[in-house]
Amino acid sequence: MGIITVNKMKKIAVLSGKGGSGKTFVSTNLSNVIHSSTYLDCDVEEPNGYIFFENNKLIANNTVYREIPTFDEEKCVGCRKCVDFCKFSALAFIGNKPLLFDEVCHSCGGCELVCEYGAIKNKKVDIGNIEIYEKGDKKIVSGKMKIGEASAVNLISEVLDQARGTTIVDCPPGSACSTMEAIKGAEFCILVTEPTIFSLHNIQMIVELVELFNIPYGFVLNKSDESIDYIIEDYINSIDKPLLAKIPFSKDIATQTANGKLVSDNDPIARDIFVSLADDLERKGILK
Amino acid sequence: MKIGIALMEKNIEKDINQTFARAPYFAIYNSDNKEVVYFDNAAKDASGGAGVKAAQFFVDNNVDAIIAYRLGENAVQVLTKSNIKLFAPREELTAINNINLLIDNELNTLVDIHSGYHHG
Ligand code: SF4
Ligand code: SF4
Repeated sequence: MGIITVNKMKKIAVLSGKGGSGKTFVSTNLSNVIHSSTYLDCDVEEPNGYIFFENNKLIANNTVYREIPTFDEEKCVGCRKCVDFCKFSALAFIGNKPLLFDEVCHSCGGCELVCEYGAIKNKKVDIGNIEIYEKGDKKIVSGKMKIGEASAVNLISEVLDQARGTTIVDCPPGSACSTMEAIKGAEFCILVTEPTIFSLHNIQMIVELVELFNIPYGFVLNKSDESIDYIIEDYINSIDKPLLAKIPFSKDIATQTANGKLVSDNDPIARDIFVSLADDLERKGILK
Repeated sequence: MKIGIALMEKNIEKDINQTFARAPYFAIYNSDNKEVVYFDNAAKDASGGAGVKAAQFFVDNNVDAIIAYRLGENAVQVLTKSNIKLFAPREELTAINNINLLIDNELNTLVDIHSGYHHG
């Protein structure tokens, strides 16, 4: 008789209102203290999380494609069906012919289906690549968008397919489409912020986003400073959500991070913070 | 000649809207009979290429010229490929005054073209 092992997958998305708030810092260090975790870097315009996992081993590098329509002028009768069908307004109709705006196209494939004259064929275009690394029991996945590519959504969705076990998703900053894609399927969101008025404003937009998706969430306060933490803490209390961890502002942490080091490996205090963050998530039933 | 503009209110005595594709209303002025027709801008809430959609609206209505403060690249491509001329309004004047200037050939060609705002 065999034993059925269910590999339970838990996805935790890490978000911040703007770049540089410590989103990658929190996601890499959190993955680092969780056994057999997967770190997915969905900040595809600037994926740099993999750098922190020193001595990692690249095990795969896959090109990612999306499909966009091409038009056969000979077969096209100018019926305009495809143009009227496209919900994303990626097609214009000029001189009786459809004209594609490929950066607006969402690769839904619909226009090819509605053309009754076989004038539309989809072709693959390269939108970026996914690098998969291994380090010890950890899996590290980095999505890199090709320069000039306007939409990160397809690439992020492929990065998410690499989830395995406890998965930490490093989301793109802000609250645009790409961030919405990255939090898909997440069981919990960690909102990383700093104690400044500017960060407060930004994080409120992220709160709106995760509320919209109805995903439970909590906060991590980075560069915490007792004299100004109230800026964020008062807000967190007012919406009655958990403050999961405070990471004190420290030159040492900043220097190590700037040098591409994981503080959870090198600084015992920082390690404790991340271990108790992971424990806290486990107690909340989010891990395991 | 048919002239297209974007408006904040359905009134050409008011100013031209600062933005084009996501303006609340459009108007088309026909200089032959001095008639103006107002439209709700369906591209305003477009989930994708608002610029393409807004420009397509004016192409489908056979306008000859557009007066706009600034246009996105995609809108410009659709409009110019359809031989629609693009003009920049004078800031201090109302929509109708700008239209009259254009008819008198007194407006400059539009140069303010932005690279567009992507949906995400
Ligand atoms: S639906 Fe097909 S035939 Fe009709 S305009 Fe589009 S490409 Fe041409
Ligand atoms: S694939 Fe979809 S989004 Fe792209 S042009 Fe065709 S209908 Fe529009």
